[in-house]
Amino acid sequence: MIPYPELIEDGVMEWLNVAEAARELGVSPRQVRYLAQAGTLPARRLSSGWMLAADAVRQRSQHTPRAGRPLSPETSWALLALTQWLLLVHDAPDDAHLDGGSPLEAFQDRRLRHRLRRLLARQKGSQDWQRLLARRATPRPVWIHPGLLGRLLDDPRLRPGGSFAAAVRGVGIATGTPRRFYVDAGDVDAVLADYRARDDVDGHVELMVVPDEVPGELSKRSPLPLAVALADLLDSADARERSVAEQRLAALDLVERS
Amino acid sequence: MIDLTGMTPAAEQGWLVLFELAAETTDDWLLVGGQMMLLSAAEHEAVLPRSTDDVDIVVDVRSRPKGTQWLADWLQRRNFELDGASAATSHGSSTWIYPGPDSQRGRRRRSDRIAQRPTVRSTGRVRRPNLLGALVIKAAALTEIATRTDPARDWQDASLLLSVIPDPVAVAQLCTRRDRRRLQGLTPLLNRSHVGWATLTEEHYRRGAVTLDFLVGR
Repeated sequence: MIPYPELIEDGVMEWLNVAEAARELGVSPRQVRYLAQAGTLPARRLSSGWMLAADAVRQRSQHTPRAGRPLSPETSWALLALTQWLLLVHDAPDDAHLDGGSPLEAFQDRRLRHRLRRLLARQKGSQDWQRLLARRATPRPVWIHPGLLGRLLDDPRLRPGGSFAAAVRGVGIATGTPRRFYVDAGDVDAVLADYRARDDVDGHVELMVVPDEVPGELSKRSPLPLAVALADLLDSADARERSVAEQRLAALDLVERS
Repeated sequence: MIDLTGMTPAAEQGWLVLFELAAETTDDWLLVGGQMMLLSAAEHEAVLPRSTDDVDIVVDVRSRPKGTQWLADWLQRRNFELDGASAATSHGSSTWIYPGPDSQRGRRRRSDRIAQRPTVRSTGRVRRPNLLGALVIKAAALTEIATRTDPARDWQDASLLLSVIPDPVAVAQLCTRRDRRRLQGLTPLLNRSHVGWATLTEEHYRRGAVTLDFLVGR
């Protein structure tokens, strides 16, 4: 524990520097800095470098995804589309034919189809999903005037995710105003300007910036598919939300194996 | 209903007079100044960083010709006296004090006397500007009245009003071109180090600066 007077006012009892956090998480210092910068871990940037809230680091270390490369953004969304179809099959097996069969056939790339099949067959638990889908969008925490939050819901450029999207798709988690919104990379600057939003690691809104290379038919659906909402819930700091997503995805595994 | 608490006895007395006036008519006058600020702050769960005993009202001489004379008569019937020391009369305003029938003229004397009164819970309705109106009045006071005695206080009032506006886009849509022109005078408040923000938090500043940005349509 390193006492930093600048950090006392945050009310966090213990802070770790980048090297300590990297040791705790078993990742490189560079990865820790990325997590801090992206707002994935609560952190403060001091003149001496990043300091990370020890509690959050330890909590993450208990849920640390296994080592391995996340999927590219495009493949992540392809996997989400496939997952969504499997969720539909699970929830209403008799109606699955209405969707035109497995969406795997919609992917022209045979290697991608093969890869998605293998990925689904291999998944053991929520940590795998979280790791694989980590690059589906880049989190960008921002501050927006609280009086404008309701307006975000009416903005077609913004697609609410997280527990809000889950609730819209019938997975009941009590939720208020959404805090996480998916937005295309090409729209981000205009959204920030329109709402006078500012980058802020403590911001109460998280923009999930979807890279340009992701085909719109995968990422631009509103409301977002349940599969995306479940992926968001796996990122949640709320154990109940993680648990809901884990249960749905565990059931999905059963469908795949049957 | 807005609950006002923690007022000085003199301010409480002022509110009782306001309620009395409101019981007679609410169409021809408007509450402004410190008590308007107190009301706006309390409505939005903010704290006004100053206390004030004075009650300021504006009489609408369009809806009631000779309205100032009418108000003067009304106040005199209640033992108020015109404060000859007022420096603001050149702007069409006048200051009235309530010395009581058996006391010497003077604010200190009035406050001492009122302080002995028991505090009672009273309710009433008064007309006052909405947040946009209050802000435009503050902007006009700062930019169009050269003799303001305490401009720092006006800036702080404007900052507080900006920071409690719930939905800046909705309020911006109500702004007329004339309002915007007046509100332009508040743009120094976009600077965090401006004296207007001295008594407010970082979050107040963020909300207020964003709101001002929307209002002036930059």
